[in-house]
Amino acid sequence: MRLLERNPRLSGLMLGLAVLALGGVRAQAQPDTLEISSTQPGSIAVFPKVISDGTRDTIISLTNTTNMMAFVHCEATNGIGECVGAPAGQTYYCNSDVDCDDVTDPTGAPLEDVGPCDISWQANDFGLILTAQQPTFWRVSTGRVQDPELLSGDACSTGGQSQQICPGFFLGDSQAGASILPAAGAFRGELRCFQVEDSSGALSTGNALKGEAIIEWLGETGEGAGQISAYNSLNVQGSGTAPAELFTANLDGVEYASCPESLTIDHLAPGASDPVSGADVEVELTFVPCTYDPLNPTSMRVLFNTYDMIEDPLSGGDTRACWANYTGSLDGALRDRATTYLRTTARATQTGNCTAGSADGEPCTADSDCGRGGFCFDNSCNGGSAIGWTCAADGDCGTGGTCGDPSGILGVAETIYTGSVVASSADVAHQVGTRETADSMSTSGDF
Amino acid sequence: MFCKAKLVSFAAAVALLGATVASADSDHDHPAGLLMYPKISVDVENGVDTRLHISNVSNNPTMAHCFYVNANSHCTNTGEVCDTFQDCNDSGIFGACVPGWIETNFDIFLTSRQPLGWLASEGLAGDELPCRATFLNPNPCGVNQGSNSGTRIPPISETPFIGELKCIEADQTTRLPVQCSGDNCPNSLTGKAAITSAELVDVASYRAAGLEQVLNDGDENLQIGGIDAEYEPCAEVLVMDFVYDGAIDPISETFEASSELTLIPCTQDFRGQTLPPVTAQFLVYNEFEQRLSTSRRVDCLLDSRISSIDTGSPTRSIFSVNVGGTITGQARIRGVGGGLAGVALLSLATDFTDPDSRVGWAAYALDTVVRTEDADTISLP
Repeated sequence: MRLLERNPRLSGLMLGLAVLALGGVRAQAQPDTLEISSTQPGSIAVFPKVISDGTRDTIISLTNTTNMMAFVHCEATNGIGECVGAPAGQTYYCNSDVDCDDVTDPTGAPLEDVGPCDISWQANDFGLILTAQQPTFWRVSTGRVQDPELLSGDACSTGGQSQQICPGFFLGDSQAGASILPAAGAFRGELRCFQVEDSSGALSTGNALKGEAIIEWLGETGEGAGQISAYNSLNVQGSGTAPAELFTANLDGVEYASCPESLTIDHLAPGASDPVSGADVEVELTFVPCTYDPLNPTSMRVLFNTYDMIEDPLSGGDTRACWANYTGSLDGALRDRATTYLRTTARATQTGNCTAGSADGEPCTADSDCGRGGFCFDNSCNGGSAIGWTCAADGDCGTGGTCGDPSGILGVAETIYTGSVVASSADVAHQVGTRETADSMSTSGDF
Repeated sequence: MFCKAKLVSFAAAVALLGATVASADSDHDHPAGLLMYPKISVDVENGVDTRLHISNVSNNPTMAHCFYVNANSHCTNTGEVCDTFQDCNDSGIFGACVPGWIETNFDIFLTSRQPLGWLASEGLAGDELPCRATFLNPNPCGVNQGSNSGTRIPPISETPFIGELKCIEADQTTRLPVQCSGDNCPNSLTGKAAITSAELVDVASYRAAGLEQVLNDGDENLQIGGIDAEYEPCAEVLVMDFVYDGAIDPISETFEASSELTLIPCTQDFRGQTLPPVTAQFLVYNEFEQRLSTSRRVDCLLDSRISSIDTGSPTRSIFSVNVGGTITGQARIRGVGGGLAGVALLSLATDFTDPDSRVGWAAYALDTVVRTEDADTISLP
């Protein structure tokens, strides 16, 4: 990791050139309002759900939508854990302690609690260079390496190596030799790709990036192999001017777009039958914190409200660190509902604001300010050994932890259909409102 | 060295800025006052149906005035649904396959915060409504005691069916948008569609594209974009990332990829039943930044495998891996004569030219990189 200062003289020269050159040319328009968008390019492309765990694998597609070369620095964070109480020789992946409560051994026999779930939050980074208008992609389990002799063709291959070689032009991180390394072992987590100025890794707000994630089931033909779900990346738009900090994006609505105040998701009820195919339905809601620091996991505090078609609400809440993949129950708020079609609102709670109750969203100092059923949230530890716990000062949070407003959230919903084969479909969540509290996303600093 | 490269690339970029990105406002990410579901596909005989969702995210009841657009073509001799004249064989005599455009409108009354869903083949009405008003209980649901009374969603008019759905947030009495300005304009609707093949258990879902209301005079002409826009603009340029048709899927290293593209014009005259002439121009880039182009008329709705957009011979298409030479590409789609909206479907199959060999599919949204400066218009009956 290198720490480089932005050269003010060079920046000034570049700015001057830009102003002069653009005098008679149509300027590159910047967004009227900065948004985190799944259908407009941005300066940070966030893929909240990336899977490569032996049952599924993911293709990441990333495109430069501008006529300028784009340098990209990506951070992949693995949120997968292992149940530490598993019998010797057996591995059970988890995302929280709950996932270790109800597991079966390879013969299908139920096991006692094999928790807790141990998650290391491993972050890996790599760089890419995209030429003007260039689309590119890679497979997460293998990464990709450039082979100058395979410029054209219809297929990729690993050729006995760990990295996949594909036809095309793939300019990866020069330090690693034009390559993206394969995911180290099982991966369930997220990917964030930041547009940067150049090999210094300093952030850029060029709004060049967009992408898709395609999650594919593995297995034999006829057993669901080739079933795919896809979603668009969430692209954080920047202002077009140089960020105040070299390696940290300030999501305040001025430098970069603010995070949403809440998310809303239309979906089928878990446990219901798909109205067309009759397949059993499960729903996975995946959230990542808006605030991101690859060196220090961020907590997020999420409150769910799920409405069925007779407008009957049920709610639940949870605090997680780094990457949360909720399957099935969501504190019972989703399962066994009266109707097949549901809408779930997921809100990142803000310190000093009511969540739910008659004063929903209003400032507060105590639960009683929020009316019946409302909560007034305190500061919580973002990072540190007490991550997610209520705190009064940074010292309550352990080394590296800060006490403050918990992060906003971004999310993806995926529906799993189990019938004659397993299938899935995915969509990013709708966004409602914007947070008053600024979030931030940092890179590890190098290219 | 990188600084020099940066200067050179910057200078080159300045020269090319005429075609660079400008951000647009229409998107799929926020609740809106106008929803567009670009692809509704039903073929009951073959187990294909589309599940539709619409939700009200506000704390007040609202109403959506919706329009199914049937974009089927029909045979002049038999009246059957057709794709080409070859489908119009009546005892050895071939009729013409004539494109059609039929709209059916209906209303959906939503209680506060309510999600609603239905199958396109079945619709939703009467006893199936979740919040039915009765004489004894006229407002059975929710905190604001609303009901779905007045909702009658018809089934699509024929099967097989290919078409679109547009829903406009409207006044419950006039069925027209509410007169409003700025933050007072209601933008309460979210939507989603899931095209499902029951035979395979295969689901491709996408979120409806939303256009937020910014101003409305409450009349029957909805101005999308332009000066004094009532709704945020549609896209002039859409970007579709795609896997070249015929490319081998990099994960299975077995299946062949193919994609379908559906485009609809933003301008529609539901009152006069006329079609605006919109042309989609395609610039297709591979990983080498090599560019090829083609164009295609969008009459009412374009729904095509991408390698059939420019030719009848898919392996010769600019969307074919045989021509592109790389696995993925980027298509910039410019609407000439009006704005466009659309959705893409990626399929994996053992033979990409044979739809029956499909093993999986998924839908994803197209990105908007340039907004239209000219206004689109939707005229309501």
